Amino acid sequence: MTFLHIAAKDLRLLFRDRKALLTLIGTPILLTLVLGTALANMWTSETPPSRVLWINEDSGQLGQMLIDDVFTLPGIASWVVLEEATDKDAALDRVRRGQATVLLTIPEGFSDSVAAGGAVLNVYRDPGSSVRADAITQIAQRFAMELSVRRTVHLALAGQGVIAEAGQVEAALAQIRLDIERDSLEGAVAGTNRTYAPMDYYAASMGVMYLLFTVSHGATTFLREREGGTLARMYQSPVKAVSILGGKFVGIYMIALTQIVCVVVFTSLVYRVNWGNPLAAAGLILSAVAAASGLGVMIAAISKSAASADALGTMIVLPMSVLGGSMMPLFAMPAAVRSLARLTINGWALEGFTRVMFENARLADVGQNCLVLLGAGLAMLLVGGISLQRKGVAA
Amino acid sequence: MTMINVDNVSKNYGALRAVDGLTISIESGAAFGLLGPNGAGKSTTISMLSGLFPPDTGNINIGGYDLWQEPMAARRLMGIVPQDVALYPALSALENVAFFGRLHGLAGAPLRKRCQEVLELVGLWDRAREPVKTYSGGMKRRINIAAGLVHSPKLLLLDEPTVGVDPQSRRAILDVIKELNGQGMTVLYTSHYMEEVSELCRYIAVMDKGRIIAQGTQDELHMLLGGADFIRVETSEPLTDVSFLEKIPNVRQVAAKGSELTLTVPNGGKALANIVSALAAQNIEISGVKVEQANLEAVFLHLTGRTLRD
Repeated sequence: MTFLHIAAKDLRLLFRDRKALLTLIGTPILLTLVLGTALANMWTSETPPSRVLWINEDSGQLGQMLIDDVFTLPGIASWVVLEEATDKDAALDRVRRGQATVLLTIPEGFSDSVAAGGAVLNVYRDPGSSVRADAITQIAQRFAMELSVRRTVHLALAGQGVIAEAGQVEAALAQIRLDIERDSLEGAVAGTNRTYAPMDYYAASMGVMYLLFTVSHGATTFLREREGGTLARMYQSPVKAVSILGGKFVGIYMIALTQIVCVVVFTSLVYRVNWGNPLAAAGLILSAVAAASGLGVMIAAISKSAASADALGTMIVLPMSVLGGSMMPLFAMPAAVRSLARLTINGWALEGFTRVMFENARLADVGQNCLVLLGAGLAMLLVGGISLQRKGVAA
Repeated sequence: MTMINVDNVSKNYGALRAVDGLTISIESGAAFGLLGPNGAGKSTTISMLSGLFPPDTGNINIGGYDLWQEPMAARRLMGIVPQDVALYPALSALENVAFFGRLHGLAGAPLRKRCQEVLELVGLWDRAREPVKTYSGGMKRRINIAAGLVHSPKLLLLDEPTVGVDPQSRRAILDVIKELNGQGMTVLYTSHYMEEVSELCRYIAVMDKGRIIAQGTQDELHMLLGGADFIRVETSEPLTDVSFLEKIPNVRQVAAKGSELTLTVPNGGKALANIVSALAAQNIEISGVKVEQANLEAVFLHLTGRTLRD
């Protein structure tokens, strides 16, 4: 368990370094307040509405009802712009390029298939706008589900002679559905998606960004140990190199975890930030810290000195934070930039946090985000660790 | 029993041959000095002996364990005091020493006991809870030694442990090392300070440009000079040409560094008059003269034509 002594020592050193503590924990808390307040406007009146392209090939009434009546409900119409598309390929291309959030196609015979119990709606999503795309997808899914329920009820009523014929099901649905769905669909959107709160978003985004700065700091401590001779002293003790490197990694992990937990606790208590489902938030935090710690090991492996690690860390963290949505929310960015978010730790972590914070997502819902972050962290740890082990105490 | 056995060890850094065919053997309980100027290869030797990196060729055996076949067993025997202070400035002396003790497997009451013992040994127990960054350079050096002693090693490797320290701390460090050696601990002490090696070590190897150029007891090394004395002359101005001094009868060797001349002669008293006359004849003003009996510096001068401080 020698590696735990090494990790504990690194944690103790952090708590003795007041300047580092202030930078790594105080700054994200302060920036959350500043950005969450200053940019709040962007999140309300200036949040661009999502463009929904639609193609209705259904000759019945139900398909058009989704477009004309559901997406025009007050709670949905405020953030959705509907546009009819004629060419499916061109519409798909616009979605891929981020010019529209989704393409909704209502297939031919949709109304008939509802009556027959096999309705299908197709939703093609912009991968860079997962939050809005998810909400629109949920509306379509909810609509189809409600139709299905009503069909079952009406078939039962027809069977009991309450409605004259089962063939009148579609007409009956068309007459009574809206009264019911107005509530249920608005409820679906409002119930599963909180209003986007800028303070909440920036708590997560600053937390993740400073998590990366923290591991960059961890990388510099590793190199300072090499330059100061204490790393050599560890290598001269009867401790295996893998335990020393493991201890340093665990130390970086614990420091990063301490940092983000402080941010989460403080913003929860003082700013009333809602971090969502505790298990999902914890899963994201642990996996984001693992990814960031792997990055820290990579920075230490690549850099020749603490000074160069410091510079390299900044060179990596800042662009990653911009691309990953830590500076500006992804929805406010061009589509090309949004697709690059998938290459960043911030992008995967923030997508997960926004889903947990604003969509009541659970751990299973952000499982992919956690796995990607864990995988990236493990890969960087392996590559960086092997490189550091080869270097030993040599710069 | 042999504590250290180094057999034909070499190490290159690119084109530079830092250690060249080093062979030494140190008995258990001995104090062995590795004397040489800066850049002689002493630190590289210590680094290889402590297992930081392997030699390019040759074998190292510590206490019966091959250093690269059984590194953990060999490292358990060793305490290392590196040339530079290798401590955590933000941690206290006690925390530093305890941390390195834990790396050697100590814990609980035995660790606390050893920490107190070694901090008392270096005279800093009363300030053990203060951060190391508040200490003087000499105090840091003493803690640096304590960190190498906490696990009660059988072999202590010290790499120039007194560089840059005040006379009081140097005295304290030398006294600690003598005490440890007196208790039976094997000591390998590297330095370019001839006086320290003379005081501490019975066995000495003189190292220059990566090679051992002489080794033995101090008496054996002095005999290499054939009973020579050592005259140091301070001149008012630096000399560039000292060939006239080499022509003086009985002057075996002349080394000049700035305004300091070092001459090796068989009898200092007899040669001094001729040397002073020769300098006067060249209108060279003498600001100081000192005659010393044969010492390790004279041995180094005799073997290399240079002083230890060159």
